[in-house]
Amino acid sequence: MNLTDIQPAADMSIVSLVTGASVPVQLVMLLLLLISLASWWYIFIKVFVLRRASEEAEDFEETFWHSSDLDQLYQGLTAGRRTPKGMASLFEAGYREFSRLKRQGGLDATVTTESVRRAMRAAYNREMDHLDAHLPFLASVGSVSPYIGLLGTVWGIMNAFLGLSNVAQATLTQVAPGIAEALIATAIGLFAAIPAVIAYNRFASSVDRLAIRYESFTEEFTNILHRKA
Amino acid sequence: MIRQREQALAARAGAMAIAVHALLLLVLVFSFNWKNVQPMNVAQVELWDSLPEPVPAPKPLPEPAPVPPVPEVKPEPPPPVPEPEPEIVIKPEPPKPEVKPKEKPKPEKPKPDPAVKQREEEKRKLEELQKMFAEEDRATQPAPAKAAPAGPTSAANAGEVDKYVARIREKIRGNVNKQLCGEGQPELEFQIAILPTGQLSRDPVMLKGSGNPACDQAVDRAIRASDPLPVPNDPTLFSNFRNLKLKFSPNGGS
Repeated sequence: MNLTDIQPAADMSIVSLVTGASVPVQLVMLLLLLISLASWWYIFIKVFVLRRASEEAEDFEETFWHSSDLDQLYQGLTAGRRTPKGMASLFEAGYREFSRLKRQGGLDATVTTESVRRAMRAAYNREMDHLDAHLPFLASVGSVSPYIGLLGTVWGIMNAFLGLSNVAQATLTQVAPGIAEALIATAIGLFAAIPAVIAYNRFASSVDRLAIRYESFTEEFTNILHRKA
Repeated sequence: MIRQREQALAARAGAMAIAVHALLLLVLVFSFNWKNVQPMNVAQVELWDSLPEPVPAPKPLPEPAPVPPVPEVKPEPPPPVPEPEPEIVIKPEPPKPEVKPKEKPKPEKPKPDPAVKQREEEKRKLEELQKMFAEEDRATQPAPAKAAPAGPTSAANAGEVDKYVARIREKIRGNVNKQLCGEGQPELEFQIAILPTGQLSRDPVMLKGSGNPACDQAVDRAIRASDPLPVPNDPTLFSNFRNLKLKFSPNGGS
């Protein structure tokens, strides 16, 4: 008695599950795969960018507090071909404004300080824009891709049950492959969403910490310039 | 999409993203081996083999055993005592109301000679009653009763199986749309798997077609429409129906 004969030869590997799915479900899977690739790409980019920004802030604070001559530091920063980034760009914008006003002369210290603060605020906003880049995308992926996966699953299960209505003898083996295929879509959606949500939360907190560091540096540097004015 | 200052990182990040996905895919492909054949086998072994044993064994044994000793042993000591006897006799045969009136006259007469006669009459009646009970049992539960004598002999089994195969064939034939099969004598062969309840456990498989697809489909539909199919109640015969190769000709014949 060959009992295996009763069972359909069900090869339920993940490849056959994907290839056996209906076209809309496959499209959903493809979309989710692209979304997942893009979100991981941005995750790695942001990891590198934020780590580098943090290191640069550390280095610049070190050199700033150890340098006796601000003019020399400014010359060193602007001499290179590349424009300063991160905290250095705040310093560069503030000091340039300060030296320009100093050269004009005859201005009140409060006016000079306000002008320097505005220049540094503009540089700060530009930096924050760079740090915040791609975070909305990650947030969208984290919240939307489970729903996209769910759409594929619902569609696939709908198909499985429609197919079931055509046969006289309804057995589990007739629906099970269809449902398994459909559930793969939800799995892919979750695979895309979970890292995106974790990365978003982590990056948001790192960006906040960097922003606080930038702001405190701005305040401290404004004070120093106020004393010199 | 990508900021100016991120361009240097983009290629490296892209490569790492692809690597992550490749790794995930590899884990999915090689770590899970979704084959569902083995657990189903275990379940089937339990289904077929555990059922047949207990059903036929207890049924025939207890019924002849407890009933005869009661009338033979019990009635003899209590002829002088009228009260307890009907109680004892009633107990083993609760469904029969006839027993009571027939036994009442006996304890009323304490004389030995008519009592003995009556006891013999009683025995005879009881035996008749037993036969009636046995026949009733047979009528209500045909399977175990038949199974007991038919079980050991394979020839009887074959006859029984043939009987049910013929009945299956008749039932299917009644559902075939004969117009689709034309005038000739096409012969088809189907492999069908039947559950103990008579339902098909999977789709019928056509082993040999008639050459006419419409006819093949008509017979296939007829098999599905005949669900549930007639099957013997004897569990020992199920093995013949679990994987039944059925030769079938829609226009009569065997």
